[in-house]
Amino acid sequence: MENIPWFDERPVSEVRPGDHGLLGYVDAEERDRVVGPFVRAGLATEEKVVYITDQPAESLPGLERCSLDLARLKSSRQLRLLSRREACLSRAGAFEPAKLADTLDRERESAFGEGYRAVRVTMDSTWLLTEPGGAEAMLSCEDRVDRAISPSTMAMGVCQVDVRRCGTAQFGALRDSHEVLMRVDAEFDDGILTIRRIYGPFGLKLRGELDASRHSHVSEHLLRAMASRRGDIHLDVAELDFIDIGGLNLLAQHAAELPRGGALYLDHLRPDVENVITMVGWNRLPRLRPGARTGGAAR
Amino acid sequence: MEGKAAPGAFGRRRPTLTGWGTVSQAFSHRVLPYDRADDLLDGALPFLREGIEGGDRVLAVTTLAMHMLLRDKLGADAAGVEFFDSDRWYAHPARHLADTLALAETAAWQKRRLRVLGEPAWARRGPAERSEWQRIEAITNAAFADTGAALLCAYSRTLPAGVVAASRQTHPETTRGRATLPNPGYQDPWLYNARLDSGPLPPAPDDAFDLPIDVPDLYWIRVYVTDFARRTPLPEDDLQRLLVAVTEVVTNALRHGRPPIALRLWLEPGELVCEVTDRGHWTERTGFGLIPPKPAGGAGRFGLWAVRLLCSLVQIRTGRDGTTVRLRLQVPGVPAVPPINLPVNSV
Repeated sequence: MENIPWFDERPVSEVRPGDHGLLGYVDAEERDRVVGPFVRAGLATEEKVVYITDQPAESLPGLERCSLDLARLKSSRQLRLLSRREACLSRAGAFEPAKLADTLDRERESAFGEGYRAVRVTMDSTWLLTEPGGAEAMLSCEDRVDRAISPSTMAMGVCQVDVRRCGTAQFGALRDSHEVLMRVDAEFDDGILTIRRIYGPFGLKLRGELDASRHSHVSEHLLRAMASRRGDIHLDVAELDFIDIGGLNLLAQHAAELPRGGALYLDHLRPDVENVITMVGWNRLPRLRPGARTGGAAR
Repeated sequence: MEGKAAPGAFGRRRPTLTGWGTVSQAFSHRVLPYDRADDLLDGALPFLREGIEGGDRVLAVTTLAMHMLLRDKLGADAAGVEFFDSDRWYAHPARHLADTLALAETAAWQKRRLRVLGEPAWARRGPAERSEWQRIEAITNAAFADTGAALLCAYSRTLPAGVVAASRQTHPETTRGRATLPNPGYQDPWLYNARLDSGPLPPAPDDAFDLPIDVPDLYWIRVYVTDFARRTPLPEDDLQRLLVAVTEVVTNALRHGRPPIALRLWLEPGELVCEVTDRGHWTERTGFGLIPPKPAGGAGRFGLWAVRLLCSLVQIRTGRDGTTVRLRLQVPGVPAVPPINLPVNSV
């Protein structure tokens, strides 16, 4: 989900106490690259992690195949895995918003008592959204969750939602109840150019200025993206203020390496940047194409 | 432009041209000097008819008045000719060459010949612009050599002194009526090009905005150029073009030139001028970005050619003392004496 400027977007490594973030993912990799760093950063420092899930720790995003000693972390209560029944379901198995809020308050208080400097909470809420009446139940509880986290100087929460399964309309409603949208961390950022992977559509977001000093970085991350997916690649260039001739040439060269029929799309081109490409001639840059227009829908 | 973007669409394949005419079937580039409209028609009509009969793609690029005369004389045959207005066709030297070459190559790929009767718009051009168009006339001989195109350029004898004389140096042949005569004064395009640049450029003004380039991060150079340009009436779209062009030229200087490298900016009547100098010397004869490169044909020559498309005019001088590249962009509404107080030598 790109180009939603009226929300505060936060790369996962910059999440801070009081943040009640929403992660709408369209791709398991996108989820893993947010939830993984969120959870691991807590466990690696003096922070408590509360993960509401029915799955074993070893198969959770970011914890599978990680080098952390999960058994020790669980026994020391630094990693708390709460089943949905423990955290937010009634005896009959129905979702209970009040119980979830109580759980969050209780966990926060006990973390404080145990001397942790912060507590990170996360849950994948997709199951709730796909149940009848689940969306309303979830929206009604988001306010209470927000009250449990936002004023806190030590709590951080990430609600995970699979946008493919809940639909964009439901996701939109949910977005209104979160102040912060979670993003994967940038793969490259030197203050002048930022490169970050995007997932809907798949590709990279380039922000800032691209010239010869940074060609190799774009090349590296573009090739990695191309290697991990088949088909078209999208570059969100809405915030790319400058691209040099060599940069255009570089993109065209990589576009030519895409599998047959694939193209490299430049989405949300700034008019003055597009003007330069038009003058040079799109026909000189085969398989590099103008994509979604500025201000258009992101997906 | 036909939209079939098949591989090799721009390949330099010589078209198979058979079964028509007695003139050479290879590329031709002829000048048609004329005093009166009748002289022009005498040379142009056989040229156009030959193309119509031969199945060429035939273009007539002249004034509106001449379009009417040609249509009148051609009668039903006029349907086989595409008419364009000179002022729009000959708007920008480098873009003109690129566009016309693309037409010629597309036609050649379709096994057709591109045939253009053109009347370059010389009337309102100043000396610098005029010599730039003369350069394009010369380079045309090199750029179109493999396309099989037939180009006939009409020059009125009422044009400023020297224009018709120069045309005999940039066109291998002259057309008079149905006759074709070689031009003894015709010059090799690259020699002609070098001769145009043999004199020095006028020096940069003393109060030019001056920046020695010792930081390899061009971000700061763009900040500086933007800062200067924002004090001029240069439109925002043109600023982006300027930044791309400057970045390209400075990148070239950092890669291939020799320090010290310096950037200067100033205003002239109607133009913003940006100059990049270094102590290096360009040796390659074809390294001036005058001929459009092949699509995706490697980064090599793409850059400087693109710079020519982005600027109004690019002037290059290279020699033992170093290399100067001057980029000029038209600025709307800059009076002869700019009313802007530009700081001197400050970053």
